[in-house]
Amino acid sequence: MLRKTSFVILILVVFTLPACAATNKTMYQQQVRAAEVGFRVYETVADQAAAKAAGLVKQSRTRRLVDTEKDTLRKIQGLAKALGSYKDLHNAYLGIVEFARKAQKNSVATDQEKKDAIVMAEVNRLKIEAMTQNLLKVASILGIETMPLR
Amino acid sequence: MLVLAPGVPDSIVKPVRLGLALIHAIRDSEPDKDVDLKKFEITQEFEDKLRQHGVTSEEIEEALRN
Repeated sequence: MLRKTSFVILILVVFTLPACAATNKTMYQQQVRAAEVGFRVYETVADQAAAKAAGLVKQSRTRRLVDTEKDTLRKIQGLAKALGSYKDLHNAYLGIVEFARKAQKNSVATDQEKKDAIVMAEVNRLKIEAMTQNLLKVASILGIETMPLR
Repeated sequence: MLVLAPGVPDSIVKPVRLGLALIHAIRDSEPDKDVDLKKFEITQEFEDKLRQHGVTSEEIEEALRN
């Protein structure tokens, strides 16, 4: 009887403890991954869009730009505004992930507060991932190449 | 180190030790380290990127006007 009970307890310990720990850990890793991808996408897209714009501006010093080139410049201006908003939201997202992380370690925080913090970080992760995808779509319309992300 | 009361049979101690070793192995394989998120902070504006490439947004406006 004792052996059977011990075995059941052992099974519970071995399988439930790591599983519980892994859930929050995995979420955190996904959030960090989203932050890293967002950062790299911004840096690449902003840099290549700026290079493209600079190339066209330099061309305009020697000749008049044709309509398609002007159209590209206008699109880059639009992209620049989107990048500005993206930058602000991305940096705010980093703050939310950090907040959620600290909440998990805060001994004063209630379980509900910890859950709320995780949900908030997850909701924002999904938002930032969707925005990153949009940024990539706009970049591809402009012919801006980005590195493989996954 | 697992310390159990004397007299506990090996048939219990061994699987418990194995279980604890497994837990430690899982924890060690995926350390719960805090990542410094500061390194992913976006600090450069698009304008800064333009300047790095030798132009400004005013020059883009000018190129569009011409």
